[in-house]
Amino acid sequence: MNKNLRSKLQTELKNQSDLQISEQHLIQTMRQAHIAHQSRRQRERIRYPAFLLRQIRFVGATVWMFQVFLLLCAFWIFRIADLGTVSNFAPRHLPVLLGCFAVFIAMTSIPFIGRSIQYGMLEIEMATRISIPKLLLTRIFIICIGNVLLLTVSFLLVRTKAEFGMGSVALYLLLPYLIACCGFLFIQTYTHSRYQGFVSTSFCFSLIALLLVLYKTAPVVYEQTSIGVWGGLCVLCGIILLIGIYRLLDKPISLDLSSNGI
Amino acid sequence: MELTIQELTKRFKGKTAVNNVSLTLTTGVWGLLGANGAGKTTLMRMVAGILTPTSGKIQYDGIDIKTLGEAYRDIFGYLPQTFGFYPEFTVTDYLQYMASLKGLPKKETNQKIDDLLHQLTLTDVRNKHIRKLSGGMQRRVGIAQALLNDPDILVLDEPTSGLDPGERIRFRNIISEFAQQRIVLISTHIVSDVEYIANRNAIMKDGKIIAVETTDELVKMMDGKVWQGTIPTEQLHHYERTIRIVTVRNEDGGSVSVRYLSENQILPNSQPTVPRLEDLYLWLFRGEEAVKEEEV
Repeated sequence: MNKNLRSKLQTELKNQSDLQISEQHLIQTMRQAHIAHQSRRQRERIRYPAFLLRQIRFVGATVWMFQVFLLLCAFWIFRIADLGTVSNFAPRHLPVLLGCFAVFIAMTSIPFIGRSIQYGMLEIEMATRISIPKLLLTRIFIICIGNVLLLTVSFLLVRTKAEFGMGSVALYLLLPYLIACCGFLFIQTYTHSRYQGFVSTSFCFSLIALLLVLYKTAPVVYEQTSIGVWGGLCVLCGIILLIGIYRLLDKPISLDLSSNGI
Repeated sequence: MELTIQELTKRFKGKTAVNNVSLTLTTGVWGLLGANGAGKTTLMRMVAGILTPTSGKIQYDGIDIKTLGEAYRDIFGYLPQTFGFYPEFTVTDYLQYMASLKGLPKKETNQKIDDLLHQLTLTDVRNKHIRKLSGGMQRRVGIAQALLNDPDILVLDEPTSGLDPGERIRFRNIISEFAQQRIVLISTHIVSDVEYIANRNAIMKDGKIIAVETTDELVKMMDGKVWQGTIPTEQLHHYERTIRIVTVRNEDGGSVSVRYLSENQILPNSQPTVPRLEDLYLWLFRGEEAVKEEEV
C-alpha cells in the first residue's frame, strides 16, 4: 500500500515542475493522507465471500430449483427410461439427445443474467458499492455451480449406456452447452433491452432445432469420425465464452444510459 | 465535505442534455429544480457515477469520483426516477438485497431495515410483495433503500412522485433530520418539496444551471411581480389569455380571486402579494406548467 502510494505521489510530483521533490515531502504528504483517511467515518463492510453467500438466497435459491427440475428430467431420460428398449430412443440417438439437454441446462441461466435490465434495476444496482461486474460474476458463478453439477450427472448417467467413449459423451454435452452460453452472452453484451431474455430463449430453441436438423440431414456430424472437429470447436467456444464473460463484465462500466438505454 | 461539479457536459446523439454545468454542493439539502427535460436526471446520473460525462469532472473532497470508485459508492445513496424491483421480492427481501449490494454486515442490516421501515411507516407491509404495493408505498421503499447505508451523499430523483400530501410532509421531515452533516440533492419539479427544506436551490433550464441561491433569495427575486386581485368570473377567460395566472379561487357574488405574475399591475385594484418559490418557477419556465401541489 505504502509502496503504491509512494510511487503515485512521485509520479504526481514529477508533473509539478515548480515543486521540489524530496523524501521529506513524500513522508509528510503520506502522513497527511493517512490522517485524512483515518478522520473519515469508518464503515464496516462485508467481504466478497460473504456477499457471494448472501446472493445465494436471491439468485441461487430460484436457479437451483430450476436446475433440480432438470436433474430429475436427466434421471428420467438417461436412467429410469431404458433407452435401449424404446426403438425411437435407441442409444444411437444419444448424441443429439445430449446436445438438446445441454442447451436446456444452459437456458437455466437466462432469467438471471439479464434481469437487472429486464426489471429496471440496473440503475439502482450500478450506484451501489458492489460493482455490476462483481454482481454479474457472482450470478454467473452461482448458476455455473448448478450447471456443472447437471452436466456431470448427465455425463455419469449416460456413460454406461453409450456406444462410444467417455470423451465423446463429454464433447456431445459440452459443445452445444458452450455454443448456447456464447450465444446468449453475445446477446447480453450487445442487446440492451428488456427483450434480452426472449431473444436468448429464441436463440437456444433455434440451436436445438439446428441440432435436430443436423441429426436428420447430416448424421455424419454425430459420428465418431467427426469427434476431432467437436473437440476443436469446444476449445474455440471455450475461448469465445471466456472473452464473452470478460466483455460482459467490462461493459457496464462504460454503459451509457441514453434516452434509449435502460 | 464538498461535492464539486466542474464544467460538466453530457451530449447524446444530437442533443446536449447537460451543458457546461459547474456547481459546488456543501452539506445540507439542495434542491435541483427544473421542468421535465431540463437535464436534471442526466446530471443526477453523472453525480451517481453511472453515466460518463462527455466532458468535465465531479470531485468529492477534491478527488475525482472515478478514482474513488467503490469508496465513493460506499458513501452514496441514490433513488432513481424510475424505480425497479424484482417481482418475487417482498419489501424485506428487497431491502436485504440492496443491503448486500451496499456491503452492509448482516446484523447491522436487520437493525437498519427495522428502523427505516418504522420511520417510513412500512412495517405493516414488510412481508408484502412490492408489486402489490401502491405507487406511494413503492416510492417509500425506494427511499428506504437509498438510506440503508447511511450515506454521506444522498441523491434523490423525483422522490415524492406518487406520495400523498401526508407522506410528502413525513418525507420532508425525514430528509431534514437526515441532512445534518450530509449532502442531500433532491431533483424535482414539485416546487413545494424543496421550498421548506432546501438550504439552497439550483435551477436548471435547457441543460444549464441558471440560478443558485437560497430559497429566500430566490423568492426575493419575485418581489413586486406577484399580484392578487378580484375580477368578475366572466372576465377570467379573457385574462387567462393575456396574463400568467398562478391560481384562481371562486369568491361569493360571481367573482374570482386571481393570483398572477407580471412586472406591472394589470388587473384593476390588484395588490402585490408575498411571492413563493412556485411563482419563480412559473416565471422562469414560461409555458411549462409546474406541477401544483393539489394536482399531485
